Amino acid sequence: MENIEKQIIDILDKKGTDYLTLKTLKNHSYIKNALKLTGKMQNTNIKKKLAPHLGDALKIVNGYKGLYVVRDISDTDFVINRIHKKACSLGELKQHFPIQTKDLVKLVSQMVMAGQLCVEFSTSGTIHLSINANPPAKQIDISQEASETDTSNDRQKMRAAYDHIGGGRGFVRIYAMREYLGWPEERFDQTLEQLVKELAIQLHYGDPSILTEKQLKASFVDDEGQVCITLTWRDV
Amino acid sequence: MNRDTRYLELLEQKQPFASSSVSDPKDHIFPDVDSINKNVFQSIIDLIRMKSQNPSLPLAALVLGEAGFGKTHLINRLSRNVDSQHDFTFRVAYIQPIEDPAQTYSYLLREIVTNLFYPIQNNRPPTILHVILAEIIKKVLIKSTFKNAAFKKKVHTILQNNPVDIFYELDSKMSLWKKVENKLISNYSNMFSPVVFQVLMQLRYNDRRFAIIEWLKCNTLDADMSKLLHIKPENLSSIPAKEQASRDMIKHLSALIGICNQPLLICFDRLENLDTVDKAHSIGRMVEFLVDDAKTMLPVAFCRGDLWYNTLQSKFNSHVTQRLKSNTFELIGCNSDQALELIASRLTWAYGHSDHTYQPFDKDTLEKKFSNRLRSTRDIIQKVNNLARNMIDPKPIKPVIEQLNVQFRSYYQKVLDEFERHDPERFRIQRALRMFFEIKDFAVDNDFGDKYIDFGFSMEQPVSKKGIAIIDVQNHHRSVGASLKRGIDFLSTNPEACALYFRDERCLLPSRWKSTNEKLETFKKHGGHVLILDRNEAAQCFAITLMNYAIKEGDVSIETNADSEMQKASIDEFLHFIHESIFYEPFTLFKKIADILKLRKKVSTEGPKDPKSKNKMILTKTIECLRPQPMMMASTDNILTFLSKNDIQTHIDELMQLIKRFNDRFVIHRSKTEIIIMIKKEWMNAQP
Repeated sequence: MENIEKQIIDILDKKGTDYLTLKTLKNHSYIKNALKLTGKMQNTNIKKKLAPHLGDALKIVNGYKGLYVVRDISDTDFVINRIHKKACSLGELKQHFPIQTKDLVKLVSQMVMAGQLCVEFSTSGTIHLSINANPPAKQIDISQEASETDTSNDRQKMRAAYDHIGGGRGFVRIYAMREYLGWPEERFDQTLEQLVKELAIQLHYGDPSILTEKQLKASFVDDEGQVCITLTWRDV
Repeated sequence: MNRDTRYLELLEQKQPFASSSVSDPKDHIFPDVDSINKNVFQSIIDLIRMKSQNPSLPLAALVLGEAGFGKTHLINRLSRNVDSQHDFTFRVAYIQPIEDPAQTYSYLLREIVTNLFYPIQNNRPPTILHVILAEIIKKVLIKSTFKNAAFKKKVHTILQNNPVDIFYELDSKMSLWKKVENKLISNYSNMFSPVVFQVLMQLRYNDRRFAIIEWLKCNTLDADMSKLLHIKPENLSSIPAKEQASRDMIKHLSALIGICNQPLLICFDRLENLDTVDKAHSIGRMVEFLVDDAKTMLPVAFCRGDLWYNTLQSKFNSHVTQRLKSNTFELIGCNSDQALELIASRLTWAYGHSDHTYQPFDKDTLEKKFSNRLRSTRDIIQKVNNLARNMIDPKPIKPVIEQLNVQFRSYYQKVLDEFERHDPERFRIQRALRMFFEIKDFAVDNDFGDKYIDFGFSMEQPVSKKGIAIIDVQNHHRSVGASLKRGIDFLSTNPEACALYFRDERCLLPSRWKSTNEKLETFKKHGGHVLILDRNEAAQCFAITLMNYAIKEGDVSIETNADSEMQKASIDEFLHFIHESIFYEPFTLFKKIADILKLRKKVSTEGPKDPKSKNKMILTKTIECLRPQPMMMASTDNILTFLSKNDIQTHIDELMQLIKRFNDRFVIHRSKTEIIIMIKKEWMNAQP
């Protein structure tokens, strides 16, 4: 039974994908037998049976076609990995994707604006998404040292990440921003500390018990040793 | 005497920074600082104004703020300012978290009625309901004709100066009250059944107040109470019937409020305690019902931001979410100016004058301390409290249990002081009792499959025990009989087991219920235990439940280390406090249960051999394990593996006990899946 997560990862590797719907997963004989799944079993029941066997590598999420089991990677990576395999339209992308459509549209727009994705029109007028072979600023920044970054630029990027993840609301989780920006720890922390000092950002301690260990570790410890889970941008 | 010394003495006596939370929004102890969260306050006032001008507007609101940012304080400020606007007046009702989702509307009605019976001013008899009714009476009486000119003048003077006095100064004028009643019935015949005014006008009689409250809450009235109010007894023994009656009564109350145009703000606080989907749905139904059917009531939910966006929001249906989200307000932390204003206001309160220039503190130091970020009001007060304590005379920190005991006693005393406002509430008693059984290592079965049985309990070790708990606050003989029958049946099929029947002494069985009393005797003969909760015992249960809510909200703080830093008390610490205190005052109820179940406190006689050196090894290696970790934190599993690799054999309980003992150097976080230990920065390089 301990091998269930490993088996699913093998299936994903063989298929060359990062996600599978629970409905598809149910058809794999090993999983079906190991979890005692029946033909008519609902997704929610499959989820209940599967969830206890998942560790850090996989998670269950809700997407276009219901529940999916997916690799525990960021949504941005899902999009890049999928489009890297084959350029596709947004419509094609959403039909297979383990992300709710409105979130996917927002994410793709953000990635296009950030220069991570290119938009091309086919002769029939369909919009195709592909990976930008020469990505600008952000990806170059990620691989560079924090000392080389432009502070003002970093603030704008942090704000953009905040807006993207929060969609206009406060109490945005810090680990999600860290994950989205993909910066070295020091760079992220320094930018955040500076914004806190300028009273542009409000840190919140929140309730750590609703985060996983991995998420908690990717949050932020302030100068008083308190773990801060979320932040709110103050538009003064 | 030196001026600073005098200030220090006053600080020690008055403790202006000892309390950083508002446990009860009706408490008006410390002065308010208007500039903090001014915008949110004003926005809610604007919403109430809109409601006042146009009650048919479907309005609801959501206030988000993490623990300590002033959610409960905002409710406090709103209730202080009900008369502050020139163009309208409003009222505030504070709703505690629901325990039984099956009784959504009965619960909402009960909480609204309890709030309507709060006095307008402390130590004065008129309640919010008296004021509302007086305004309605004024409307019909001011246009009435009177044969006696002197009497007319007297009535008009009362109505012009303070209408509510009509209940106290003219209470014996039978003809006047008959006239008022008839006019109200005829003027509002399209909105209310006559019985509404027949009952409510009897509020002038103090001895009928309890019966009126019971009638308003749609509780079944016995023959004596019905006779007292001159109404026909009504049987609302089934839950659906009572739910429907409660909905109708809330609509009646909403209509009454509408006549005098004083919107009622319904504040749902401490949503953190909605620990099941059913409870969340229940609050959702309340919000939806208030918006759609009780149009003079304005629901406002108060919740932690992160919890709302990532957990609760998805538990409500989209209709309710949209309603709440259409007016969402986020509470903001204080800048240094606001922090100084807050400190100054508390000092002014303690010293009795504002001529103190922050003494004994240095203004520049305070300014510097609070200028580097936005802080919650709780954070500021706790930090100043630490400064004050260090200046006064640093005292040794009391153990956490003792600190929680002091705070528990304050909750307990408050419940006792306002006991009549705490109805015999089955599910709050249930929560406290469940907690008792769980901490005494019983397995508790909450889903017994019978609505009359609250929970089952069992343990295998050290001695096999099992039983059921029945908490009964019903006032109807059939319902009481059904509960007792469950107990008798259980004991007949499980003669070795234990059946506990709890009843609040405010709902004693009348002697005329012969067959029910016989059942009670049969229950006892079968070995059942009847525990009639007296005032103190019921208050213990309510205080435990209310303090449990407050702890979940992060509203209870304790000192944890030598620098007197305050930390939120955890549920584990609270359970530990209850566990250790059960056999002492004031937990008389728990002592009784423990005696029935023959539970004795286990006293450990064996200690580990050479514990000091082993503990030191564990600490040294734990720090060694944590130092290279990201954010210097790791799960207990990882620490135990690390210790094991270093030939230190220990287990989770021993490790946690040690970590808790040395809480000046470690912080415990409970993540979704694991317990995480973090080393404090100041201990990064030190040796244990």
